[in-house]
Amino acid sequence: MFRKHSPLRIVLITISAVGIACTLYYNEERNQLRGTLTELQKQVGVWKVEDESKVVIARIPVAKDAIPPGVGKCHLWQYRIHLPAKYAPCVSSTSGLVKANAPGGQGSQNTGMSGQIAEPEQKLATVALIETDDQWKFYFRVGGNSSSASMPPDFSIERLGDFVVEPVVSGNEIGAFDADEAICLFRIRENEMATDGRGNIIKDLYAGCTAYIFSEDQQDAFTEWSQGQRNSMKETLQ
Amino acid sequence: MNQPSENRTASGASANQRPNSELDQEPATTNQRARRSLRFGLMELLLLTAVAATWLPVLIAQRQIAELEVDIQTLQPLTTDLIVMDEQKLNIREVSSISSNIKSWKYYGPPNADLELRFATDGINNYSFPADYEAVPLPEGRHAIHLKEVNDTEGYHRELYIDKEMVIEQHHPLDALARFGSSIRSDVSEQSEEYSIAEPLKLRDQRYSNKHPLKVYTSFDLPVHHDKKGNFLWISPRSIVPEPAPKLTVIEHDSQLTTFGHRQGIRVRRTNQTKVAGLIDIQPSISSVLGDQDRRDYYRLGISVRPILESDSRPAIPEQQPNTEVPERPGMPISYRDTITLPNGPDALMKNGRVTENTINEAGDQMRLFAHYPRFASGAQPIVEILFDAAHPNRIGFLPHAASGSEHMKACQFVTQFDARFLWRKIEMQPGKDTGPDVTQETLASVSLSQLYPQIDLTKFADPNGVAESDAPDPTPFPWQPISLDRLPRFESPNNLADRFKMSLMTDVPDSSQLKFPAGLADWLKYEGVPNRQVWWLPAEQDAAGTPITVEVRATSLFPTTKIPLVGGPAIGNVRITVPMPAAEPIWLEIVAEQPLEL
Repeated sequence: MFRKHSPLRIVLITISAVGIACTLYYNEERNQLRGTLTELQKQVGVWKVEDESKVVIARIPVAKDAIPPGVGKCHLWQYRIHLPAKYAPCVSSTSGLVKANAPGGQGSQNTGMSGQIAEPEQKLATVALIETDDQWKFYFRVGGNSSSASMPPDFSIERLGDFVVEPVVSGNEIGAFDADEAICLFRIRENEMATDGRGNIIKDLYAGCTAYIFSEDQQDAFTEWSQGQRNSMKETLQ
Repeated sequence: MNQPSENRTASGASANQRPNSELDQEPATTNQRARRSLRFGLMELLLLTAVAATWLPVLIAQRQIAELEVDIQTLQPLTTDLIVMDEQKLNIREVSSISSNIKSWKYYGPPNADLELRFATDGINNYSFPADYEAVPLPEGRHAIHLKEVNDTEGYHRELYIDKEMVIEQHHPLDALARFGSSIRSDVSEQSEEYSIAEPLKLRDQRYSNKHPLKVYTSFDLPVHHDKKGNFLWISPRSIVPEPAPKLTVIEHDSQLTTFGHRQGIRVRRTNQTKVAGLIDIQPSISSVLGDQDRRDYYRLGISVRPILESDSRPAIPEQQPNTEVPERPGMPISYRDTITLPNGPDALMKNGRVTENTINEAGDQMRLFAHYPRFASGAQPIVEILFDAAHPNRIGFLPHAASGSEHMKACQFVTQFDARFLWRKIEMQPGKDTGPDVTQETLASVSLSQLYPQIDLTKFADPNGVAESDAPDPTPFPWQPISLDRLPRFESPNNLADRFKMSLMTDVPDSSQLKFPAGLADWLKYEGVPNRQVWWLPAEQDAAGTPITVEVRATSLFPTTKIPLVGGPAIGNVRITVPMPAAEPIWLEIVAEQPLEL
């Protein structure tokens, strides 16, 4: 009779029962999380970073509710960016007159940096052209780092087809770049070179805007490149 | 399989032996039972397998859950999805915005939570949530909140949306939120998280830095205890009403620095970091010295309290007395206390004294504390009652007392120090005698230093740029110049209080940023704030004997503590108020901006 009441058995049975309950509980939680992850992946895509030392970029479809109320006309591009460990993201944007194959130009230039990251991170990059009070503004944001600038007064983007639009990757492409490259995330410009007030062509400059990302340790090279003094960096856009 | 019979045999043997040697055998029997209980058989093996089979999935699931959580945390900021984890709580996350002037959040509000979305642009401080705000009910269920900020040539515009409906719209004129950068905090991140519905939750705490009132492209931050402007958005239970921040406070900034007085007005500072002790360290309200940088190891304005005995020809100067406790920091150490009597016991030995919130009355609109001085060599020992009235944030009151055991004091002098850095050069007086109590601003006249010192040629003292000529004479001290109370405007006081004379010192420098300070002048002596006044409110009747208060001023041609000539020539260096003892009514000092700006 006492074997039925063996404390060891009772303990083992109890542990098993608790284990079954925990299994059910954790399976349920895991299933919920898997469902959540699947939902998120539907929005941002499923991709595995093959080489963790590279900067990897993929386009994300713009969510239906990404454009908040109070915003008029708007063109929006969003990217998912994998940054390798020890990368110090530095973002630079130019709006006004831009070059077709290099950073810099004439107009508003903004550069922001957010410090070196210890571990690989994924960031959301957003490029937006928004019309406010009959003037288009250019917004560029990577993670918490953002900049904005007004486009020239006569720059109106009613139809994107009238412009040269060069996103770093299109469709379902995934781009992988070395960490020492300056990556042009986005460029939009007019087809023809800009002219001055007297109708003379301003050589190699187009009305538009560009957004670049590079690691802070490349800032000197990037600055020289954007000033046309150096050709050590090359355009990443194909 | 034989185990049961063995157990029975063993059990029976134990039973037989028990009557003969029960005491000896009992422990052995117990051990045998324990061994039987822990005996491991096939059933135990099966059960152990079951344990492993049931717990192994748990361990695997936990590991996978951790990985899934990391993946979700990585992806969530890239999306606009809100993950609701607990439907009984407020679930919320910030959503990455497409532009820098729109901030967005997604939330889930549980049913019947009775929450509000509140928004304020003023009165943002560290004491509580802003007391003046606009609010709308927070709908239950899943919704989005958007805050749009637009700053244009017409002013500052704020639009608050819930989903696509604008629920709050505010427009502020350009000068209302004069800003120059900001600091931003939030309790909410880009990860979906759950929060209690019983506590307020900050979505955005943005506090603007202020533009320097005189310098272009320069900003300054108001002190942490000051109300600031900005954008403060939070969710709160409707039943929670924010407490208004106190008007009078004691703030222990750190172990070396305590200040007390008006939260947003004039304060007394207690610190051991100034080079000399013995002065009451006055910190005027920020609005009165806007643009002037505070340096905690230097006085902005000090008050020297000097007791006078009947036999005194020259009163002792507390800031020049040796300091027995800290010899390298001369001056009598002042002990600030809640009470006029020193407590017995160890507290009495505290060097710096103790000031607590007990100095503030229950209504929170009056504050009084006591500055205890050591006994002077003459035997006098004054105690100065320091008063603050919430209705007058730029004023501080002084009422001298004698400590028990003090020699009888004929009077107490209050002598201001470091006045010259403010470049006060004029005194507001009545043009003639006996113009009566109905004084208006129009009847007052500015009396210049040259009128006060008609016998001295003030132009000989310094170059207007503050650079002494090489052949300039050594400046001789200016004599004290009495100011007749009859020449000061008299104001009737309400509530049967004594009438008051008002003495105002004014500057002739409308914009200190245009001054060219002499090379080598220490930064703390350069006043770069808004033009202001030193004002004294003096009781018309002081004691029963009818002895009047006396007022004197003394000019100086030098920056305080230096031999560097003042920019623009001599200015008032000190004000001396002599209060007959025993005093019944306090004297009040006010530092006030000529044209106060709203902060």
